[in-house]
This record gives sequence, structure tokens and C-alpha cells, in this order.
Amino acid sequence: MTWRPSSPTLALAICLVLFPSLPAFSQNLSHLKVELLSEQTSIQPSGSVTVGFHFTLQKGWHLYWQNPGDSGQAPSITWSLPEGFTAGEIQWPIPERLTLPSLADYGYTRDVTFLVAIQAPADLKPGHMVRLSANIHWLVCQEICIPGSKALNLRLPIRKKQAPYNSRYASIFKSARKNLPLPLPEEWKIRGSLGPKEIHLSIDTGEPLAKTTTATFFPLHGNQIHNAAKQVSETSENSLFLGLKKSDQIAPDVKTLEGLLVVEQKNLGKKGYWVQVPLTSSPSAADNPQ
Amino acid sequence: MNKLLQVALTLAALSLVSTLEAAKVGDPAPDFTATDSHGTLHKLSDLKGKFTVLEWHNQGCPFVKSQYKGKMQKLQSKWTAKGVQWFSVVSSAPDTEGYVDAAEANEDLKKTKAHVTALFLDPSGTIGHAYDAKTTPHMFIINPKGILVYDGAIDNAPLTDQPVKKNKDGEPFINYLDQALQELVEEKKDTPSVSTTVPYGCHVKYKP
Repeated sequence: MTWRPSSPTLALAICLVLFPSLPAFSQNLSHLKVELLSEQTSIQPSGSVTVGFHFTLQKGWHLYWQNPGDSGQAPSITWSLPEGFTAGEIQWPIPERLTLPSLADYGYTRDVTFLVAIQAPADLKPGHMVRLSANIHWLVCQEICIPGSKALNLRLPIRKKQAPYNSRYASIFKSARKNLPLPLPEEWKIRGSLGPKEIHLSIDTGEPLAKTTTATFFPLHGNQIHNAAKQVSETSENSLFLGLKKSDQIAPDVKTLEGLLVVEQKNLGKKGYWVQVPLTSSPSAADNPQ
Repeated sequence: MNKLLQVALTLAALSLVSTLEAAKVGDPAPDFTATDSHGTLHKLSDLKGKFTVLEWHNQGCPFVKSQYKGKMQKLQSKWTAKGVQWFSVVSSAPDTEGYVDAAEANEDLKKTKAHVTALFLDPSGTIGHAYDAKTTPHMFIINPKGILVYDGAIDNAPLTDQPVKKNKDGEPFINYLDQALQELVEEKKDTPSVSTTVPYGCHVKYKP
């Protein structure tokens, strides 16, 4: 039975009457908690520190990857940094496929940390404090979507020496790093062929793969692959094959397919690799003639 | 190459059982018969001779609400005055966000002062699937010959309530729909300079 509240306030009132001891989330209409954490306890002149936007999501709600897929919107950050500081791009963890009726999105259903590297200028005075401020915007969805934002700050002392890591958040940062994509191993060779209806990727790893190995592709750009279509993954000795249905809106002269190739092997877990695959046109014998 | 053929065959088999291909820009727009919120039937093939805009709609979606702070209504007024047929389409299944019965749809139109030609009720998702409408808003333009000439986002600035000169990425603001209609209707071009973009918004709440 689905229930559609007519207003968030009514929904909240009903929730609080029926379930007076609900956790903090239900009283927080944004359905999540977000904190800005620093990996290190201080920053040095010309040094860099990694910060993390750590999201704790209410069960059933999700956030989006940099390509959200068929719908949704990726989180974005606007920084307000002291003179000379620069912030890098969001380091996106490997996403999950989120299937909806007829559609598919890419995002995160569990707690997720978005890492950003902050670079400090040379002319920092040890003994002083710096304040790093950010405004993070997100879209959190369940069946419905709610945009949200929060202003977050971090104050760090400037020290001459390399700072020790913040043991309090060590496991959060470790977990976040483990889930980051890697560059494709040098020995791996990836080729893509563009047929009338599909894109076929073939990856030669040069090492024996377990028969149960599966591959999934997350495109970086929209309108290239059909997000909701099943991806056909096959393994053969040292190679992986992936069949992807083309999007109806794909540019007819598309030359490259860019995105994340996620390979899941028993005992080795999930690994994600950034790939830029040149596509060669090839009529496939199995496709229906156009 | 044996394995590659195997993958190709499996994929071909899967496409045979999947739904019909939605139309692409440049192809004839899929025909449909729609019921509007006043109970009137509209058949797309009977609407040739004019430009047609299809606007996928969900009154609860924050992306739609943002457009309806004035921008969408202004665009609807501008182009319907120039002879464009503008149809809102609601493909939300019953009990999902955006679903409206005829009375609720008319209430929504009145409240927002929408200036559409009609609002189509599509709770079964038939029209949505025919166009592969993914989000609300998702915009389509069909030319007087019945050819699909635009498919994609309304603009490049999601959740921007008021008109802006630049979007949050610092790019010049573009309303793709307005730009395309300007080129097609006023400048009498055959195709708009931008005919396909990635649509953004809440997902269309299709029936499972």
C-alpha cells in the first residue's frame, strides 16, 4: 500500500504520533545527515589535506553519482576558501545501479563519503587557523525527490610539520578510498565496437578470470547507452565481454565511450576502472539489418 | 570471437522481448490517442499542420515546481500565441507523485495559471513509453509534418527559479526549448541548432 502525504508537515505529524521514538532522520526532513570531516588534524604551508563530505542516508533514500542516469542530480559543492587555497574535484566512489520501473539511475543507497583534496598555499603562517567553508547541494530521492543544501565549515590549525591523521575518522576515509575507481591496469586492453543497436566492449586482461566474474559499465555521459537495458556480461579465460544497448539519443558519429568499468570477482570484491574506449563501427552479424 | 558472437546473440534476443523502440529525433513522432483533463480525445496524427510541444509534467517534482515559478507559464503563453500546440503530459501511475485525476489536473492548471492547449492524462504510461519520457520536465517538439525535431531538457539550469544569465557552472543560460522554437517557428529552420540534450528532473513514475 503506497501512501502519498499531502504535505511534509502532515506526514511528520502523523509519523511522530504513530512512532514517537523514531531516529533523528524523521525529524530531519532532508532524510540524511551530512558532515564535513578532515582526514588530518592540521594543514601545512604548501601541503594538501583530504576532506570528506560524509553522508548518512535514511534507509530507502539515495544520492546520485556524477552521471545520475535517467533522472536525478549529482551533488555539487561551492567552496569559500581563504586566499591561495584551491579545492580539487569531487572524487566519486563507485556507484550502484538503481533500477526503477522502465528507468535506471546511478547513485548511492548506503552511507557515502565524497572526498575532495584541498591544496594550501606556501605563504601560510604556522600557529594560525584557517577556515574552509563549503555549500553542498544535493538531491535525495526515494520515490519522490527532495533537493537540499547545507553550509559546512572546517577549522584547521596551520602547522609547519606534516599532520598526523585524524584517528577518529580513519575508518571513514579508509572505506571511502577503497571504493574509489582506479586507472585501467596497463596490461589490460579494451576495445569497443559500435553496432546498429549495441556497443560491444571486449576487455583482454591477460590473466585468468573466474567464470563468475561480472562486469558492469557506468557511462560518464547521458544519451549514450540505454541505462535501463540489461548489460550482458560474459567471461572467457582472460577476457571480459560486455554488451550494452545504445541510447536512442546517441550521436550517430560517436567516437568514444567514457565511463567506469566495474569488475566484480569472487574473493576480490568490486573494482572500478576509468575507461575511454575508442569505438569502431562494425556491423554485427547478430543485429537485425536496418 | 566466439564469445563476442554469443554476447551479441544474447543481446539481440533480449531486445526482441524488450519494448518497441521509442522514436528518435528525425523520425516520425509516435502516434497516440490521448484523453485530456476535460475528457476530450486528441490523436497526434490529426494535429499535423502545427508545431506541437509535449511537456512531461509532475506537479510535486521540485524541478517542475521551479519551472512553474513563472518561467514555464511565460513560455507556454508566448508560443501558444504563435500557434504552437502545447500539451502537458502526466504519466505518473496511480498512487505515485504527480498522479492526478481530471479534476485535480484542472485544479493544478488553474492554480499555476498554466497556458497549455491541453493536459493529457497518461497514468498507464503508454504515451510516456512511446516517447521514452524519462524525467519531469522532459520536452519534445514535433514539427507540422509530424517529425520529432527536439528531445531533451528544457534548459541548462535545473532548479533555477528565476531567470539567470549564467547557470551554476558558469555557462551562458540556454532555454533549449525556447531556442529551438525560435529557430523552427520564427526563423523557419528545418532543424534546431540543438536537437537532443540529456533531460533532467525527477524520474517519471511509471506503472511497474
